[in-house]
Amino acid sequence: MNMLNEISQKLQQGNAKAVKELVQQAVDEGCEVTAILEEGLMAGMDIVGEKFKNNEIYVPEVLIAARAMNAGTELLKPLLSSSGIKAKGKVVLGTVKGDMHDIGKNLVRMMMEGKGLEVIDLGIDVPSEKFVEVAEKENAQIIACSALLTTTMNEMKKIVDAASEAGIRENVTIMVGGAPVTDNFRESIGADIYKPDAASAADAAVQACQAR
Amino acid sequence: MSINILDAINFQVDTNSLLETFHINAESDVARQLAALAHTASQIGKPKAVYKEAVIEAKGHDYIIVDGIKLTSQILRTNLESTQKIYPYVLTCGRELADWADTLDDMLAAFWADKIMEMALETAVTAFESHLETHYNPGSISNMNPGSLEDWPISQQKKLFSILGDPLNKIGVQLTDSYLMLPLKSLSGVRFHSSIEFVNCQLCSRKNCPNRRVEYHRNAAENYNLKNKK
Repeated sequence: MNMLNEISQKLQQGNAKAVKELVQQAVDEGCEVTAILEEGLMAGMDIVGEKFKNNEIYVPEVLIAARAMNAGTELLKPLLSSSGIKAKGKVVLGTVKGDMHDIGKNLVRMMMEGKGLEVIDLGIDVPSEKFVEVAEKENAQIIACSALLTTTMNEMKKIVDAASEAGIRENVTIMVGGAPVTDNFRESIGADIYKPDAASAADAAVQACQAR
Repeated sequence: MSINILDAINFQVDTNSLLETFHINAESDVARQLAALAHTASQIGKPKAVYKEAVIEAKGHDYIIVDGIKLTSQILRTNLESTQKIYPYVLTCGRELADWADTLDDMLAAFWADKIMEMALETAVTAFESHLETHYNPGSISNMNPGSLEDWPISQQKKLFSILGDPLNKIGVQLTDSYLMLPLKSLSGVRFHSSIEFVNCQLCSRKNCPNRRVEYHRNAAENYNLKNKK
């Protein structure tokens, strides 16, 4: 079996130890870092994401696979930065003010990272101004915000308004998600993208970055 | 009426149930990590409950008054037409587990801990129901939670907490400015006697809800005169 394919397979199985060993072996044998990342690790995570979207696997399997991916990317990080390889885009992510839920938000982060995006995770209970401040400072293409409560989802409108007031609305795609959020709500607050699951959100984020 | 505090609820994590839930091979390394987490959680977990029997002092068009505190909800008021008692409650997985979960950096471990805390909350629910049945024998009961339906908004949490005194001091549950309970795996509401079971879901049209217990009844809102509510 091709080594990159084997990395992909072991990642899908969630075998972090094997992924780490294979990535090291690939590096030692002179395999290109971008190939290891894109044809091995990210290819494996793509399949995991598709299976998740199709309800063939569930959150725990995704997390186990993501942990295996992290084991591989940790080895590649120093090589990636020295080779000047850039992320596909930059995302500022967080759970809105007043809301402390982070399981879904963390899943989105892992899926986005698995797609080659750089994610700045602001954590939970994040004020609207903070999303905008960091997006502006980091020149991020996307603000992605999560809410799990009907009382806190209205904070998303504040993020849209804050981005407009800061003059960066045209430069940033605003994504919303979380259990009570719908596409109708997204439209009503003037946000750009709503996706019902983490894998779809990651796909949409990549597309949005490529479109800019 | 005296307040009941249940703070010695036995909690043991069923590791086999977790492995099954998460589709994990019992012989794998991952299973061993999960078992270790479950073992720790069983040792430190202290789910808790606080509740009381409260007499309804007055009923208005769309409210009731309990202990001098007004709970405003057309649906709650309608559901309480034939009863004079309610059982307000706050249940929690306990701060012990929540604090432990906060120390877990690994996302997979945090996810598992989240499920374990849900199990602890379910244990608190079972203990509460058993205690309620044994000590008050309310007969067939129904349940409502502030925030589950627009008619009884989550802001009413504050009043529910007031009826129970100080749940933070009693069982460690804090109400934030956005009416979120901490620990997150906490549950609040009222139980009441009703000959016909009421379930919030029958008045909620939300699609694809993983927690739906019964079908949405399109015409049920009319039974509660909700169309007349301001």
